[in-house]
Amino acid sequence: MDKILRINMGADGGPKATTGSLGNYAGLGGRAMTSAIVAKEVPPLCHPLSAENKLIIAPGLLSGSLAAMSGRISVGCKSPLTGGIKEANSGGQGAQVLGRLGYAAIVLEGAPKSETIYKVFINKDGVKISADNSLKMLGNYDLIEKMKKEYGDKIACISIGPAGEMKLAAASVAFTDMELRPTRHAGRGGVGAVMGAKGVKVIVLDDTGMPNREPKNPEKFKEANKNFVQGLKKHPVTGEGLPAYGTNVLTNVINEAGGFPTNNFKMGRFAGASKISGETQAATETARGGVATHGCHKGCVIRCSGIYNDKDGNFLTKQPEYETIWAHGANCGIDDLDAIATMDRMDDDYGLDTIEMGATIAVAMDAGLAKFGDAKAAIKLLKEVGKGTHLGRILGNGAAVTGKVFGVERVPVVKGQSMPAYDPRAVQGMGVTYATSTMGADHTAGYAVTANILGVGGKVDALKPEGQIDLSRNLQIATAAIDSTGMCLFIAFAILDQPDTFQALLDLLGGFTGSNLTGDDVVALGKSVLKNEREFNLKAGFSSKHDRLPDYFKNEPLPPHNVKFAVKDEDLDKVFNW
Amino acid sequence: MNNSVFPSLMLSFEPGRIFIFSQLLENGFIIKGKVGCSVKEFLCNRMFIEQDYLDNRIQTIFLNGKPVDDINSAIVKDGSSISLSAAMPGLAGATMRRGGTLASMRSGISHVSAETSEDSCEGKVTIKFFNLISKELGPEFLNRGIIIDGKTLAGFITTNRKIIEAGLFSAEKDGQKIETEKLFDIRWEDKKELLLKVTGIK
Repeated sequence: MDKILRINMGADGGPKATTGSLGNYAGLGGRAMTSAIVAKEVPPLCHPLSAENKLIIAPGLLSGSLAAMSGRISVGCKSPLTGGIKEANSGGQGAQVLGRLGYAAIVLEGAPKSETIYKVFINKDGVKISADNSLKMLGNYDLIEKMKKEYGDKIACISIGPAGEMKLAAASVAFTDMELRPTRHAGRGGVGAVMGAKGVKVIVLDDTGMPNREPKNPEKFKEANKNFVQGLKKHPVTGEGLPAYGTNVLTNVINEAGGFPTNNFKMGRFAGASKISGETQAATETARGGVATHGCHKGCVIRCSGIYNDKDGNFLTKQPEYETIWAHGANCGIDDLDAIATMDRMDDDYGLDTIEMGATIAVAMDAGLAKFGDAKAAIKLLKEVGKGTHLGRILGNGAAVTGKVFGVERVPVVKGQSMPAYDPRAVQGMGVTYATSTMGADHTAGYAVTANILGVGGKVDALKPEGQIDLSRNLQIATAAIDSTGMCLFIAFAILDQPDTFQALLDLLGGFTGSNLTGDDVVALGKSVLKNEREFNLKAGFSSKHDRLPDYFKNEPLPPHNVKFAVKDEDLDKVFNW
Repeated sequence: MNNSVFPSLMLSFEPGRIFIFSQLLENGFIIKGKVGCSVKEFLCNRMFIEQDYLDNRIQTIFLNGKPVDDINSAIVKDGSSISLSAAMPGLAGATMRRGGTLASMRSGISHVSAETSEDSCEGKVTIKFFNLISKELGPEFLNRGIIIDGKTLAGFITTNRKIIEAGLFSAEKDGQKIETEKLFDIRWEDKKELLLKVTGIK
């Protein structure tokens, strides 16, 4: 990964690809790479859909090597949804294949001079860009079938569906999985709309003939990888809970805690939770001949995904994630697992963020466009988005736009982005991260290892209320660092509990790069990523007043525990004081 | 615990398909017995869960929907509900762990123990098993017998008819053997409470 591919979509005579060295971006990967390029090269005040914005696709530092769990890929740009910097990441095969092809990043620049859409083919021999208007408005599934016929089945694809082509702010970028299905998505912030604005429908990657990336210190790397995998397998979350039930294992627990947002964040507990829980989902998948334990990319040892078949035993979609089950389920009052799985499939096909769409449909339900609990009506609303009707285009621009158009006050967004599946009144520390993250409301922004392992900012006293501010800060720093390695964030649990597994990760990185990484280096990396992102957002017009939750979270008690969000504004402003 | 006064349903079932009953365990079943004791005492001495398993495997405990940090001081009363979970993923999952470093992030909903303990008396407690706890303790508790309400059982049987038919060897209602077909005709919703016992037979 010693080169960056830049494609100027607005070049005279048609799109032009150039390959250059890493320059000042050497040593960066994933989110560190995308955020550095956006911060340095994108004018903060530009329109997100303009030629001045750039879309950066960057595998992690270890992607393309034999390091376990190294298959995450980051997509960055100025977000059409938030107006700030954005990094959305995804699993799937894209990171590994792009890493083996040697690219540390693909940067889409400029804007096409016509309505023509393009496909990009990249293999060991180079880059070929072709106009192909036959792909216009294809869903991701049909698109990938077409690419398979054209390029064979040894490829990985990065694509947008109709939502991206329509430049909707909830549009995602899809990555194919091991079965060459477009099921993994960089979902948040409307990154698909920016790809659509660049006129690129699909990037096809073929790494035939390309070897795995070799570590600088093979012995150290091999030993560390072995220890790292052992650490993941022996931990109850990464070795047992996630493989058995997937991320949806959280439904019962968060529901029991009274933090499972229901009917557009009106309640914290959903009566139908056990019908859509991870336990029920896994049992349903197994009974129908699907798979309850499955990886999203080669080299994944946690395997928290699965295959969800319909009632007749035919593939419907990948195992929907916890956030999707919540968004299209409890948040809309829907307890029908098949209906939720159908909407997951539709989101993947249209190329939409499942969290944003579930939150948006719930806002639309509050506006009276459908009744809570009406699964057929929810599916119908989603179809409007796929068809691109006027209503669909409003919904496809997310909850904030939908709330404004229909005069709904209860719109659960921060910086224009919908909150995910945890009510911040019940888990207030999560609310701190929602409020202050550079990304808008984002559950993954503060996710990874704690201060007590990294040692940043001293030991946190978990029993003091101000601990929430310190924890959120440290979690955001650690998460930014993990997002840069290309490692799946789920490794965080094993690292949280097992210092030897954290050391194995450091050794893995050190063995690959040939350096001796310490916890301090990881902290420094995380801080530098956040610094880039904060500075970009400040220049884009954000201030402390944007680091707030909507007022109703402070004023309306959440049943059943009747709690309000109680963290003071002045404390929120301390999160980035380091 | 004397369960003989309840209507009962006893099923002999294929072990490989018993996982389907996890829906009932996560939905909640009733334990009757002495209450007014700590959560730890209730789990170890009333439910006979081994302390080592409690200490190492059951990472998250809810009492009346509130995450518990100190199982010695949290008191179980008549009408309480206790939910048991293994360690959970996600930041929110990690915050729910008892006594974890992230506990302050959910301090607004944490269980706060009363200053005085309750007198011991007979009572009913609703128990929920989630995720790995359901998988590991479920078969033993199903074999011992769980008390559930008839409406829940009726819904479960209707929803899962196909897999129940595939895994069922024999059924007894109130101690009398019944044809397996009849299982689906009985109006279980008319029973307020009943004892369900499921035994895995190869």
